[in-house]
Amino acid sequence: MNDRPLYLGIDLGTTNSAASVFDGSLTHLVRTSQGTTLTPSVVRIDARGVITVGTKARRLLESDSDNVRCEFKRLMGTSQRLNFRASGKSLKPEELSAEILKSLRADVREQFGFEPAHAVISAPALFELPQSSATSEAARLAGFDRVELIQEPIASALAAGWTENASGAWMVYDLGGGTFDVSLLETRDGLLRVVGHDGDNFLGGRDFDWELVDLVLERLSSGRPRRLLRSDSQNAVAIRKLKLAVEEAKIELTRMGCTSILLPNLQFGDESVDVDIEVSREDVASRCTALVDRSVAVCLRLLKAQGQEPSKVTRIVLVGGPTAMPVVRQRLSETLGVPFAEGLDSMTLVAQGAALYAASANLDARPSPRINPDKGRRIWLQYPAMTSDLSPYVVGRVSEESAPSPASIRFEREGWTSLETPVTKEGTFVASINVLPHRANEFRILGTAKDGTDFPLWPSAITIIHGLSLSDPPLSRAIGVALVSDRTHIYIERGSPLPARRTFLHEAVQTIIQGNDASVLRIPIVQGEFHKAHLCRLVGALEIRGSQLTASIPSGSSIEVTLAVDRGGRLSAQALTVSGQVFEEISHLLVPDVPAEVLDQAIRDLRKRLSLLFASAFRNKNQGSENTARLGGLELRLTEAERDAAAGRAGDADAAQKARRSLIDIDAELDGLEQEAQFPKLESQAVMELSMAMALVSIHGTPQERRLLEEAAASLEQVRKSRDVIEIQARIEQIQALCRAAFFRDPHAWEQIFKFAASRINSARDLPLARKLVDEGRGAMHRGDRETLIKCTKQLVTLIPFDTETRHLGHDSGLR
Amino acid sequence: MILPRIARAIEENPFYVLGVRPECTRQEFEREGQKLLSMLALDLAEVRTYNTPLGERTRTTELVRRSMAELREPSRRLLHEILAALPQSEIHTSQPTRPELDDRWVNAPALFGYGRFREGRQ
Amino acid sequence: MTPLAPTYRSLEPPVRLVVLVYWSALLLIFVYNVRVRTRLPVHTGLKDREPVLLMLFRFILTATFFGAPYLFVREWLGLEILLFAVCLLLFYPWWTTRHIAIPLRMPRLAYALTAFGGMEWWFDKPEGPVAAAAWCLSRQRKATKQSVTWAEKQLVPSRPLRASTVAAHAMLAAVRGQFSEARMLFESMLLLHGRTAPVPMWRLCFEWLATDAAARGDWAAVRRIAAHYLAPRVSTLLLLADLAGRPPGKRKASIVEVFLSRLPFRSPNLKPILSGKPTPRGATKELNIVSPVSLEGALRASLDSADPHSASLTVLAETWDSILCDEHLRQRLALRSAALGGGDVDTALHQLRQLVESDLTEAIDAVLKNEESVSGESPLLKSALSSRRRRLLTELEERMARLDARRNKDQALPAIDEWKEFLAFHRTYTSIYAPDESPDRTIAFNMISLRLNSFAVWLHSQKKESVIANAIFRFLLPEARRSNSPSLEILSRNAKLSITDFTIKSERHPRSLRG
Repeated sequence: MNDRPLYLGIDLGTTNSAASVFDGSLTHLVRTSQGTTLTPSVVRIDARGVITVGTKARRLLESDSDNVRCEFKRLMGTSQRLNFRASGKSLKPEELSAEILKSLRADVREQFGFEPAHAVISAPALFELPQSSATSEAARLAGFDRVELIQEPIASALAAGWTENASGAWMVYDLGGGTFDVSLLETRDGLLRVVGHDGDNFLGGRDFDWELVDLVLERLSSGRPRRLLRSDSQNAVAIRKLKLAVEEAKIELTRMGCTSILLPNLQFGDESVDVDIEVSREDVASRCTALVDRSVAVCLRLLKAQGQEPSKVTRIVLVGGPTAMPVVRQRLSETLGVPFAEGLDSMTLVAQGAALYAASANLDARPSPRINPDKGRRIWLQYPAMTSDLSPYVVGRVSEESAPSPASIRFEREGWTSLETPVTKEGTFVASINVLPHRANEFRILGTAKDGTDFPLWPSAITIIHGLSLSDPPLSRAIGVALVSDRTHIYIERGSPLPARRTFLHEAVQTIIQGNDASVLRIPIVQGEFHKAHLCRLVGALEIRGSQLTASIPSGSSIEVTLAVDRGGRLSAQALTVSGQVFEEISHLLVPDVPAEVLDQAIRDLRKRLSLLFASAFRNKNQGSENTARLGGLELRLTEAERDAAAGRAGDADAAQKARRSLIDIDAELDGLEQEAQFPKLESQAVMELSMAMALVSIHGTPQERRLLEEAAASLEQVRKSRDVIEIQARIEQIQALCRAAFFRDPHAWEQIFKFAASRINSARDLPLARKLVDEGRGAMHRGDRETLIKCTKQLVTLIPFDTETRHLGHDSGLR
Repeated sequence: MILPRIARAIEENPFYVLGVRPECTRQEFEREGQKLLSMLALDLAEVRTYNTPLGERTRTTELVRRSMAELREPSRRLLHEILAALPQSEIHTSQPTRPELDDRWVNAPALFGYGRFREGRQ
Repeated sequence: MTPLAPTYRSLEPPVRLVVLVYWSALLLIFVYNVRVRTRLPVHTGLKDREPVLLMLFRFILTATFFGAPYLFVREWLGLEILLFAVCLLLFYPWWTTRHIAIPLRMPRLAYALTAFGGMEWWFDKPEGPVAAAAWCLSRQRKATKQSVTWAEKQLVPSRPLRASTVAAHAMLAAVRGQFSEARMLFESMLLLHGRTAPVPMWRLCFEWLATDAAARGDWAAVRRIAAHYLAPRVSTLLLLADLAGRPPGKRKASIVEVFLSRLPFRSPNLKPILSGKPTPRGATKELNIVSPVSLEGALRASLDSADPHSASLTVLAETWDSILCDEHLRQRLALRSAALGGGDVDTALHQLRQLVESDLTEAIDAVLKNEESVSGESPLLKSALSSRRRRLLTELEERMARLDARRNKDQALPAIDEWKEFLAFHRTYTSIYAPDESPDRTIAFNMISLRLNSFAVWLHSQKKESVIANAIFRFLLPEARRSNSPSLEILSRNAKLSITDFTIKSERHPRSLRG
């Protein structure tokens, strides 16, 4: 390779990792010492502490399971540590990822002759911020000076778009080992734009494997007294071996219709079992269709969110090993009906795209060259390293030295020379250059002195690649701040182009006393689209501690909070107090651990709510069947979450995280359904309240109240159409308030309340007292003694268990 | 009375930020945006500010990126085309035009013994 | 035995002169002090009964006054001067603070003097002394961080709130340069009962507010402050109120006027303040929109620096109504959408509508602050009013829910924070309605009255925050009267019972409040 820049892209996958180098024209896959293009994401540490990575480590996964670890990508950003028994070491997931990256770096050095210092590493689009942060940390540990992160769907799209050269809307369906991402893209006039994306961080090839493991276990369990369970810790070793076998079988089934799983003397606790089971494509289809349907639901959700139909999508690019499974392709064809893009290597597409992205970001993988003053006068240049524009601009500034500057600059490439661009007094220039399409264009930079002689410059050449322009990557999930009212204040909306930075003013709800360490103000940063903060993922918190303050912050003071996300999805946050102090350290940037008891309790609570909703759905004839179907889906997911929670109890931390996330999602959906279920009841209540209010307000209301009631009635009609629970509740309150205001103007109001209360005397808490009050009240009514009547009525209602009347007249809280 | 959000939307209108016409093609604004980003990265003085009907404003890299992203979305571009109806050269100012309307007695606190006069007393 | 009666005639002429000067000085101080204390308006119902000890001190003063010549005769001049100084410190500590320590900008001396000073400050330590210290700091060129921290540290967060507490925090905010915070706190003192701070604190509050309003050019506020029923009838406020009545541009007093106003001799002339004459306002700039309305015209109008008036707001809203319904604009956008290969015209117009509506909501706030009402047939304006109302009612409900939650959990905040929470609540409540009769006010009142009453009862009974509780009851009372609410009687009773009268021991433990 010559002096042309080389761009390195790395796909750090759950199951396999890959690397690719782009030289400006072609992408070259990096080969391992075994000659393969894929490096299994597996790490082994033996008793001497020697680290083995990749295929060699994977071979020992079964026989030396205590010292081999795989699929740790989903644990990135958690506090989970992985133990290696023989060496006694305990490493974080990012430290293991760093070993994978070191191996890939070594492969690059072997193949291309240089140790890469910069790279672009891919991350799933819906990676939580702690996970992105952990990936950057892994790169640093591996020895990279600078890395940028790119979302996997964008990388795949870039690689696919680079070769496809077509325009219109298209989709990238990325089903990896552990995560699923789908992106909707648009290519128009050479600009590749991510319109939107969605996904599921806990859906991947691994889940297909577990389904097949469960199938085998079910078949093995038939005819046995004791069921063989995945969650049984005694079966852990056997399950691991079974999973490896199932993986191989799954791969074989892409080529043939049927295969066998053979594992003699597999030890399930005390029992030795000979596994000899035939598995067919139909078996896989029957077990895994539901998983594929889950991914299809995500695709349809994405299309709907962008206002698109599947028919408008021109093609789907399939990325990831599991997309080779016939069940996946078949189901996608049946449900979406979009043709697949052919001729692309789904296993390495992400790595290739990452390399292309490195080119667009001008991130040369080679270490930065030292400045050699003998080579010429230093100039600083800004230009698009990759562009779809045939006439991009190159902007430059001559370095500030006390020496003459060139008078003008021109650019030359093969067959073309630019006009002389004059250099200004400040030493700057802006030149428009022509590039040849679909290739790397090398330009020599030539300076001309005032006297017309050559003026040497450094760098003396640049390379601009003509291809695609990439729009700024969008933020995968909204980011905001949790408020004290459990509301989320969204700072950066989902889909906002990155980098993005937003600032808002908030009010401190408590005083933070200067010098007092116990006095802390937390600013929780959350990721998610829910209005309720507790449903969003907590990614970190800014803490303002009294011990760090130079002046107390009184309650009610303004605090200016800024959240910023860079192109790779890395978050930074800043809080500025009234006294001008700045706080920037984000604490607890970890995915929270999940105790088993918490999961179990959550599951119990959700089951209870689900059963209530089922009962309500059966009663509601109009929307019953639609709701029942939705509830059925939720029940299935809850069952799945229960299984994952059980697996988590048995030691599978990844399953526990998956369960945690599923339960939060189910909670949010149940919330929505509960609100919807309330609507018919609220609607009837609203109608009833309105008719009562109209009668009262027309007689006793003021003109303004009448006008307001008319407005409320009109807006109620709209709310009934929109079926917004919160809005209808607000309308009911409004109508009730108008009704109350008019009611108490009625001179006979207290008489009516008294009569109503008296009619319920039999349910009074203190019957003798209630009878006495009724007698007294009756007497007062006959006498026309209003004061006594009111006094008796008030006392009477405190004895009788009403709802709103009690609360109102008994002066308790709850006027709503 | 000034409508602040409308005013801000005009101040940060992508067409003003990028210095292109509302009828420009995608290529034109992409090219112009790329050029501005390069020039801002090298801190060229001529692009540090841009004109709006509300006067000169500071141009930043983030503003340029955001403007390019806004114009790439057709619905958002339509909104910005509406808000770019005023020519950039037309200036509106929010300063009071009559000095005699300024009726403040800024020394009052100091004269009555309640602290020295401070600039920008809000 | 030597006679106690002064033998003035027996003195030498120079000594007579000294004694005369001495008597005059004591008399002046005494008169000045008494006059200030009696200047609270009578209809507050405040009775200025002196505590017994204070009366004793005054007796000693009087004895010293009449015994002075005797001492002079016996030539105990040094002792007399010492006694004079001691009397001054003991009986008139605030006078000494105000006229010596504060002008000399000595915060610790001001603190010590006020803290030392007699019965007047008995219930307001350390808040009163901190306010005095902060006053000194506010007069320094640049108060040091250490001195500000020292002053802040003297406050005891666990003490129940009094008006002096608010004054202290307000002055500290002013020292820190947070003038809007200081203004907000001083204004909030007007919600508190007059008995919850000594008179000097009230004078500080009103004078600070009035001078601050004058510095901002808000002369209507100056007038309002000076006419407040709690405002002491002192010359400084009278001067400022007088200035507010002058034409615009002539509202600056000369140094001589300011000096004279600070002497205790001018008798209060209440007529100009209470006459109800409106404060003359300067000419205002009106919105000018040329017809027929165009998009450019609407945009220009949105950038116009017209003063916020109801009429301008209506015109602006109607202008935007016509633009958003304009078919020509819609057709133009449809053509552009086709040229761009996408883009929903309805979405773009909806986003524009949302922008305008949000801005109109804020403009409504500004117009209502000027005590004008907002009405009209404009759909945009109606929508903005409606969404504003909804937002404020929701905010009110959320604030109320937070108070309910804290009451249920028995979680009180430090006194000043509790007060600020109530102020934020009060602000939201008063923002909801226009100055004229409005059912929104009734709705808001119905939403919160009983719960707020319960909250105030909890504050009084469980947390001993009687002053805050009393302020809440007194806030709810006129609202209950206006709405003819059945809870009027209870609120009235609670308002009376929640005042703790420090001078009447029998009422120190009032009967329990009705929650």
